Amino acid sequence: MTSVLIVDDELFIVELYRDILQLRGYRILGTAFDGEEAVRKYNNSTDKPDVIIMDHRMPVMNGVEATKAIMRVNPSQKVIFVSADVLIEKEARDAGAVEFLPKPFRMDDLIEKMERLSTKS
Amino acid sequence: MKKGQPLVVSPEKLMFCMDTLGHDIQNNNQAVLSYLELILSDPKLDPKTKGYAMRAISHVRTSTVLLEDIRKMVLAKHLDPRSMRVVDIVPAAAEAAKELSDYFPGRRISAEFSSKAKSAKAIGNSLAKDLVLNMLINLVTLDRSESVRVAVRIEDSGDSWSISGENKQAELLPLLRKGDIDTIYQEDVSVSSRLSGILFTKLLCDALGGGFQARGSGTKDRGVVLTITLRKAGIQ
Repeated sequence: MTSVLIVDDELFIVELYRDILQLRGYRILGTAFDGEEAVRKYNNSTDKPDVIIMDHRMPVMNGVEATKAIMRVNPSQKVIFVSADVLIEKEARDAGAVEFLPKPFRMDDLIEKMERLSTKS
Repeated sequence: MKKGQPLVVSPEKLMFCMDTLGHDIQNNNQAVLSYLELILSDPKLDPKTKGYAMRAISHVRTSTVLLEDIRKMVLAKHLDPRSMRVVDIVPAAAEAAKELSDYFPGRRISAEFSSKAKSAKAIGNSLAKDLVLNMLINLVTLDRSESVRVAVRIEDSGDSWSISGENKQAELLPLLRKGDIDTIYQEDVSVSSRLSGILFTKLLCDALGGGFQARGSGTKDRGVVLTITLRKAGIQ
């Protein structure tokens, strides 16, 4: 079962992803409300997620910086970057994100990307 | 602030607030859209509820586009076409035509795309696709039919590329029939209703150094052709 770490500062967005991904059979490994918490949880966990869903605009540390920090630990980590800020796509990909989804997106688009990445890993 | 002193907000602060508010609205749109999709995924859902949910999705999508338009309009003031990336508008317009039906899930939308040129490089960044999509959404919103057909064409116009969209059933609103879109700004907002998308498209085309035109086609009341012109890349 594909495991996921959800990173977003909005509780309702975290709950939304959790509701939908659990229904589709994904295992939610953890959640984080800012980039720093995500990096800390990632580093402290022995069970690494197959996929990270990463927001950008978050307090303490943004998504691009968090992605860079995670990539330094594990360069093959799969990160799907999701943001309402379309101008951040290049920076997100440069940081190591393999996919980018501008908000609002269709859930089927997220699932399709998740499945593609799960097959690859 | 002293009593009676006018409130002065710097453009930078306004831009920041617009951007932040826009970002938060998009997050909320994401939740509405996704929960509606979740409702629609229930195979036991009755057709009437399904229809309502599809209409709601259509409105969330349109609200998203309108919001993005506002954000881009704020940014348009600072656009410098000289620093913009060259974009091939053939695949961009084809993609916009393909996506059009997503914005109107409760209606039957067909967009037929054709281009004699295999490639059409223009100044426009990712805004080129947004412009075409906006133009096509306008063509649909000017048509109240359940089934809508739009034809999208790219043509060589010398120094620029013309991207036109035609809907033979769309209604050319009285203000557009007068010809000059810029005169709409002089009108009361109550009579310029349903023209926000057109005003946005014109404003952004102007900011990119191109142009925008709306004209009637076919009979007196029916048939609209909207045309975007974008400067060819490499031409001074």
